[in-house]
Amino acid sequence: MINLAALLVTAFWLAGALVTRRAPDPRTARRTATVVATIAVATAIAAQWLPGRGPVLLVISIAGLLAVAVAPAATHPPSAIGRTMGLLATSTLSLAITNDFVAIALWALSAWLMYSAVRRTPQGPRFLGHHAVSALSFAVGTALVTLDIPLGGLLVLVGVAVRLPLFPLHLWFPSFVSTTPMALVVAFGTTPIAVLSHLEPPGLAVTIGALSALIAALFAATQRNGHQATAYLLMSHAGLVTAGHQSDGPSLWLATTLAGAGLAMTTAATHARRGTLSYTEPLGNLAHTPKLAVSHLVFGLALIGFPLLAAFAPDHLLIEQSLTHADYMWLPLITTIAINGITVLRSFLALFAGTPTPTGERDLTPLENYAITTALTLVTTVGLVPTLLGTPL
Amino acid sequence: MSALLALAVLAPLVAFAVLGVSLWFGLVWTERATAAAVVGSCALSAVATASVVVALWAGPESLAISPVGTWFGHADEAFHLRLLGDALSLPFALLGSVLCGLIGVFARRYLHRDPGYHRFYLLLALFVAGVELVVLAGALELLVVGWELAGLTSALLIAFFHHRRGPVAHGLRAFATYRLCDIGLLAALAILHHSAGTDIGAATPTGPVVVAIGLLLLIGSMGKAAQFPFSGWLPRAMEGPTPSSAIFYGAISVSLGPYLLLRTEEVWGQSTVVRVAVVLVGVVTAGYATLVGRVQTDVKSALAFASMGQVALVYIEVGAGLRLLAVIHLIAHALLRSAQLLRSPSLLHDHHHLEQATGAPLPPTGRHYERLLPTTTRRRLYRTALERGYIDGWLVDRVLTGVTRALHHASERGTR
Repeated sequence: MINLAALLVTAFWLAGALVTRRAPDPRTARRTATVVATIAVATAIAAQWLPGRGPVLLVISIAGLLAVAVAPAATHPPSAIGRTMGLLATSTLSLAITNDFVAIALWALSAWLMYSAVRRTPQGPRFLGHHAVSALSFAVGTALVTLDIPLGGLLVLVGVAVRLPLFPLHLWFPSFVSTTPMALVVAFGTTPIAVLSHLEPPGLAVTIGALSALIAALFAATQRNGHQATAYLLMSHAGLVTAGHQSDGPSLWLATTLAGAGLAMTTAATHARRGTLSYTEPLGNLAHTPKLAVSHLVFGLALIGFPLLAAFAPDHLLIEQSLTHADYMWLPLITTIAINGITVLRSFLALFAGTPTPTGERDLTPLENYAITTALTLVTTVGLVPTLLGTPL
Repeated sequence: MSALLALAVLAPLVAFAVLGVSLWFGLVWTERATAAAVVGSCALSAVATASVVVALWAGPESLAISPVGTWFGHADEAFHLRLLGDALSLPFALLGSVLCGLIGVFARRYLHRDPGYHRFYLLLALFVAGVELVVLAGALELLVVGWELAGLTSALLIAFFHHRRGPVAHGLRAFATYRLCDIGLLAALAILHHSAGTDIGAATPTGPVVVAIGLLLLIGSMGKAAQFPFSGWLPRAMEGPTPSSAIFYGAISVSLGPYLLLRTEEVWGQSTVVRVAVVLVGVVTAGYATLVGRVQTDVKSALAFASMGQVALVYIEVGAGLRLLAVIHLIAHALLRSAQLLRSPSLLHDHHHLEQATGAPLPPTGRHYERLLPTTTRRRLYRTALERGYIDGWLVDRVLTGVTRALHHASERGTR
């Protein structure tokens, strides 16, 4: 089955990727990409009234808008913006064509696109090692699942556990988030949740997801810089999504992808202004960057399922359903959510408070303001009316 | 009456939303308009609550329940939107809106031209909404929504003077304590959801699960109420602006812990084990707060420990089943303590004024200890009190620092 709206959005992203790669400078590339992302978002909004996968398409498009509009010019040359749009195109294309073998091809393609961006960095070999295994496991596992061979589900689980990432196959991820342009990290994280439907055995996937969520939450709470804490927060929520894959994972994926993109991009914007994201040496002052600070906090709170924000309803349902589907897992899930809350407030206070001196940092630029306001509107609207996301798959 | 109950919650929430959206789009209101919006929303909330009280008093019914609606979810997993006005919730709802409104009026001058003026009122509006939601919630899930809103605003107001490191660290500490204790509350809720449902006044669980639910609720309540050993954040919380200290730590916020126990008493009240545990927490905290409070050298810290001690006494009353006394005690304490905290910046002036009036230095207090205890014991107690029972040193320096360091090293291993 082909989803025409997703196909159209894919075409926009691909066209945008080709145009922005040839842009003379990062600012022009960012402006062009933002126009393309706006068209993609408008198309995805229109698709809400069509039968199909409206919510997923909309969330990927808004995550894409955040990625390209908030991407700091200093760390995102036109080639990085172009690759970001290419990655987004692979995500929306997997929505457009629901076929296992297309999914395998897109999985490998997105990993290769990402590798092409990091191959000349110290992270390149580690990324290649992990994602070669991931793509191979996913491909072989999916093929075996179609042949009804039980080992297939386990191989898919290994592939997904590397990609999301889940403990203990996460070793590539924290340094990847710290050193890679954040727009690429966000785009790479938009791989649709449909792949989780093949996970076997489900009980093992839930256990690995819940434990990974808890371990990552504990790691996140003890980090000393913003990049590492963001990396482990994202990893923790990947664990929660996996733990809920049988029941509420899809809704949780939508909420965390949106809020996670916002948190990651505001972290990147702060890093671009300051050059460091140390938690031990406070350098921020929220009086000078109030919108950046507030958006960082609200996206963080939305990610951890704070009331009235995007992930609250999915988190609530995840806990309720974990009592039905996996009654031994509700306690780690609750603990994870509580600890992640501490990490988010710590990040906000460490990055935007603690110093009386004027920082000279600029608050949100018009382009950033546009993208962040759009995303915050969705984050709060979905928080107040969770049923807007509907049934995502 | 349903509309009035909803209005009591929605008025401050709308004020918060309007103020927040205006500030986001750069529309900065005048100080007078900002204060008027928040104080007006508190007044509206108070009038709505008072109207429900009058209607119940004049009518045949003893409680008001708003229609049961579903926010999201289906069947057993549905999240119920249900508000409840009864003899327990309405006095607290009225207290919350009236006191917050008065604090709003007081802060107009106290925070005049403060750079964080609008932020204070924004957070105050959210806090009132959270408190009204906690006390008027007819389902425990809805109570948790208000509980979290109140916790976040509390932490952000402790860190109000964000350019100093102390208040920022203390705000984070308070929030961390809340969230860790929330594990107990959420766990109790999860068990309750699958045993008897979370609607207040509906079926109650039976069997051994009651003890587990009761103890988890007790843990959940202890963070907000600053009961031992989760009490270290309260004296530190006094670094926030005085109006917020008065409303949060003298009056409303610390009262939410005992309120939670009172609200859920029909769930855990049949268990003697839970009752004994509640009394024990109260006894230990009351002793600790009395001892440590006596050696504090600043008035806000002394008031913080006094507040902790009184709330601990309320715990004893709740555990002993003295429900009416606990409610009266909480309300009276909230009124008195918030007035004391608002007056605290003038303490030296008041002290001097009193000495002038009496014509002699004021007599020292606590002399009876000298008669009752030997010098060595007194010195030992004094040292223990000065070190706040060594709890902070042991908990933070030994346990928490060690654990976080080990976790950090574990996270670093293999990732670089």
